[in-house]
Amino acid sequence: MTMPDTQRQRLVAEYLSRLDAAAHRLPPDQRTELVDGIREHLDSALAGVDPANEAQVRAVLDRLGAPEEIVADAVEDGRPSWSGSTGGGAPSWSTVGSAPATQAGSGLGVREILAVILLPIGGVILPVLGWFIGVVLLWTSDRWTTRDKIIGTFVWPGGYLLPLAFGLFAGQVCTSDPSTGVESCSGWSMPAWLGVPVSIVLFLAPLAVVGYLITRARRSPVAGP
Amino acid sequence: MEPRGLAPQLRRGTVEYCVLALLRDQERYGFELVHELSAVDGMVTSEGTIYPLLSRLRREELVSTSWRESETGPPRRYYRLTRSGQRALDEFSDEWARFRDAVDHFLSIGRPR
Repeated sequence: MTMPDTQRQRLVAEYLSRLDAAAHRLPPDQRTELVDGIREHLDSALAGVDPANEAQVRAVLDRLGAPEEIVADAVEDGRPSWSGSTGGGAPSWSTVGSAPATQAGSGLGVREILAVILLPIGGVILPVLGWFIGVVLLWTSDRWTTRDKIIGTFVWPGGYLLPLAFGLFAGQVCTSDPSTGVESCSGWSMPAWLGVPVSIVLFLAPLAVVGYLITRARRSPVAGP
Repeated sequence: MEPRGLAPQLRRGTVEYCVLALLRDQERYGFELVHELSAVDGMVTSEGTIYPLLSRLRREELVSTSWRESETGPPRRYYRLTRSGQRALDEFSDEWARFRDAVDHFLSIGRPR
């Protein structure tokens, strides 16, 4: 049996929207995590099948199980499991709470928010150390890939400390001696055609990186061919 | 919870340790874990139910996760065993061996060998 690619997409989209609707019963972070997980699964599973073969695409979805069934399992998994608790049927606080303290799964947690604040300005508030804490938070978060973390670290080391230092030292200070009229200058300066763009890049790059990191932390993998 | 027979309950309680065991020596991503589990007959009835399980293992901090680029397609969430996951797995392995022997013992009573 053959089918156009759009029909495959329709089958998958239908499945995902059923899942998304059913998952409304779950706490928001668990819902995102579940839908992202299934989406990622479909990406991998469908990469291995002939997209024109409807039976194969349906088989992938069938093996996953009905979306409602998966969500029912997730709801049940919020309760203590057979192995997870020693007590009878009494729910235990550690597994029942709707939103546990660790929300590393999706979106921006406290760690991520602190990181994107400390990376640019942490070094200015608390010289060097503030930025360093930002870097530690960046690297210990699970919301960014290694590439994101490298970009976050190297643009710029120290955050705004670097552009500020640049701005400070680049300024040429000139004084003229009133008695002799001789003007003497200290420091160094860049010609304006070079200095202006360099300053703009130095100041804008951290902002761009913060925007990039926020987008990356909030993203969910996109299902698609 | 409606009665669903012993086998599903047993599977439910033990499949999480099979996941932990698969992570003992290496990080794996979700699809890889599902693939390994469904390759063995009788372990997984519907593959999708592994994902809520992975989510719970993460919330209980038995596994930790990180996003990594994949050669093809969007980044993947990788799962890794934590120290407490390792401990839970070791404890379960001992307990399971005793439990299995005990059940086998009773099942074999009066049965011709």
